[in-house]
Amino acid sequence: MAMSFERKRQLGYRMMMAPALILMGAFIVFPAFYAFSLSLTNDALLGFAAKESSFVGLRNFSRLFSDPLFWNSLKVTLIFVIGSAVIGQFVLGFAAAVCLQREIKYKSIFNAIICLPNAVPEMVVGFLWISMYASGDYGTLNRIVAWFGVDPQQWLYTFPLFSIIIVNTWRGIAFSMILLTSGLASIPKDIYEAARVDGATDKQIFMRITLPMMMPTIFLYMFVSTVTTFAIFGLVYTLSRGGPANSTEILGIYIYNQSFTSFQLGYGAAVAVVSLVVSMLIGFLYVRALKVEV
Amino acid sequence: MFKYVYSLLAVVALNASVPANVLAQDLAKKSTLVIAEHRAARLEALYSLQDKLEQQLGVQLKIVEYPAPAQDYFTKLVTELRAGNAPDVFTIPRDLQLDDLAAAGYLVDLSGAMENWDGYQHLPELIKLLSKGSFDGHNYAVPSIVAVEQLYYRHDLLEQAGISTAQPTSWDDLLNRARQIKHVTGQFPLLFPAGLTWGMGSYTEGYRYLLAGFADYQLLDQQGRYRLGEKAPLEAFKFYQTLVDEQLMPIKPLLNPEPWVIPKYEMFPKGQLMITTCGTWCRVFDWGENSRNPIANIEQAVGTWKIPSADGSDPFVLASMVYAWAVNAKSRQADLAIKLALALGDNDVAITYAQKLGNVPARLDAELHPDYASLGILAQAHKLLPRARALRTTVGSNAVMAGVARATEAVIIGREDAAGAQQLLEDYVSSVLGDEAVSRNQ
Repeated sequence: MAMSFERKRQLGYRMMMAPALILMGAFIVFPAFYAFSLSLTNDALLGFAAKESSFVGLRNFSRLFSDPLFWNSLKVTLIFVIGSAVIGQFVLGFAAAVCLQREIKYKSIFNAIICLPNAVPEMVVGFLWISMYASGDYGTLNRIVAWFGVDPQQWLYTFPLFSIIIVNTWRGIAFSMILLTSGLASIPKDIYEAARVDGATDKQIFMRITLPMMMPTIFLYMFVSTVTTFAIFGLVYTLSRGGPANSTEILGIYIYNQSFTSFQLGYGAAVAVVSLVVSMLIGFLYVRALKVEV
Repeated sequence: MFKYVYSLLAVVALNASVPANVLAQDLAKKSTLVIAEHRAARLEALYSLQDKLEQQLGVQLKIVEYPAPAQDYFTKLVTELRAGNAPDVFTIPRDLQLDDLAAAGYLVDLSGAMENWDGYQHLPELIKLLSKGSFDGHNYAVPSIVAVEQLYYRHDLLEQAGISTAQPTSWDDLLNRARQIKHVTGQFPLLFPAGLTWGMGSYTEGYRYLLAGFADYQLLDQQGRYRLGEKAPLEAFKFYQTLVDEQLMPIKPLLNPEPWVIPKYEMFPKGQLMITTCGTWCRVFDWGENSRNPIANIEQAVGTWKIPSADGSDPFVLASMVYAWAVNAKSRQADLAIKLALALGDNDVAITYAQKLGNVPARLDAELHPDYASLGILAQAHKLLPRARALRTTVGSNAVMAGVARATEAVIIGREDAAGAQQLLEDYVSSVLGDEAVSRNQ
């Protein structure tokens, strides 16, 4: 029986989606399930378990939940995500987006300056800021504070978490600004004009028009930045390797340390699974709280 | 169109005919062995030996440069071993990593080859033991150089301050000396590596020195279980606690990402730290005249003490088989790779490496080598080798080292006292290796 035109079209659409689905299956779905299966074993990179691993049920998870270093890592990750992605990048990115909406001189230069950090690879950013934060007289930041009579500081030791939040904020403003600029641009100009005709102040316009109409974009930004910040590794590893005293040991570092420093693949996979669940939970909360359909 | 297709086919055909000739040449060519090496000094040593080794074995050596930091090197190596694409020959940074690698099936059993190797009879008994897997008694590594570890102190500054430079006889004696140094000079007297960021060094360069201070203590019981609940591990943590409580050791630098940099490379050369644990490499690699942090007139400025025992019995030095050569179990040219590993165990190689790195040759007959005199002060350490002490570990040593790093960190940041740290160590090792791996008898 000949296929109807509609069925052919549907099949065509599906065929077009197939490469994306295959890639997602191979590189996202399969590894996620593999990580889960690994988390139920004692697989390791060293020792007898590396040769022949065995099923240990939920032992890795029970060890995980009783490990204070895991809870510390989760806490550090949440502070890092809230501090850099939710507050730092969002506030500064939004401010930059609003400012650059106006007609100002050398706008493209300001745009380029803000976008530049995002063009630098994560590890390079890490090394760059190591030089900024370097202790002793030769650190860039110490040279700056010396102008104000402040003694040289050990920034990554004295303010470790705050220091890495600053770096990630610096790096992420561009993404936030670009996304939020596109959101701002999508708001029809005639709404603003009508509001002004009705005598609305700038504050009222921002609170009653801009912000509500930006909500879908803000949601999208929050969702993406939270999940990507959860997965950060190279930046923090370069800067502090999780120290001092685990104060910057975000989940990515904790997973790496367990899998490739302690060589316990099964346990590392269990942490990765929990990390995935936490990320999904946060994503779900965004969807629910903001009542946005995705 | 067809013109292009024919041209393409002609090119392909031509290429297909060429390999027949090339193949014949290839067969006549030497085999290539891939060898992993890392750190500038070690690479320099290997490159200087490359021609000689190639001629001796009739092979081509492809030297692959690995990351310099020991932990990064080991992680990359282990990951490649697991993936099956590791080099034919590589080094095992520390003897206590041998068991874990061998148990994982990554290493070729060299027992037969070692028996027929003339260098084997010249190895000290301790080093022979350390080259064997604890779980099966088979040889898995060819020892080349050894680290002789003890305490290094600023002889010049202690003399200047009128403080005794005599060998401390016990832990109490060492601590009293440390208190005196702090009182008289105001500087930090002692460094025993600790904490998470120092990694395995918290065990190998710190805690191990203290555990070995009990002549009747071994880390393993007769069943090969770790004896972590006993008096010696507890007393070792108490020693750390004393250092912390009385501020005899710099703590802040130990929490940095590279915790050895400030105390060993800055404070010790500047005289802000007076005594540190270290191996023979420190004289050359850390503070030697060609190092980045040279101590002027180092032969006189820095002295060595043996490690005092806990109870005042004979002080001792520790020996570690470092960077022993091993062969990848998945090597396609295992026989050739074994020959290369054995050749790397020769005294020529060992002395070249020892000179560059500040370690000592593993073989006792190295003293008959014409270049032995070039080792200078290292030769004194080499003579200590037959009476050196070591703590045997077994499969799972990585977990013990990680546990010690956690437990010592808990002590230095004041989260746990000595008893709490011991409990933390036991619990950690049990949770990773299983309860059966830890002997909990008091």
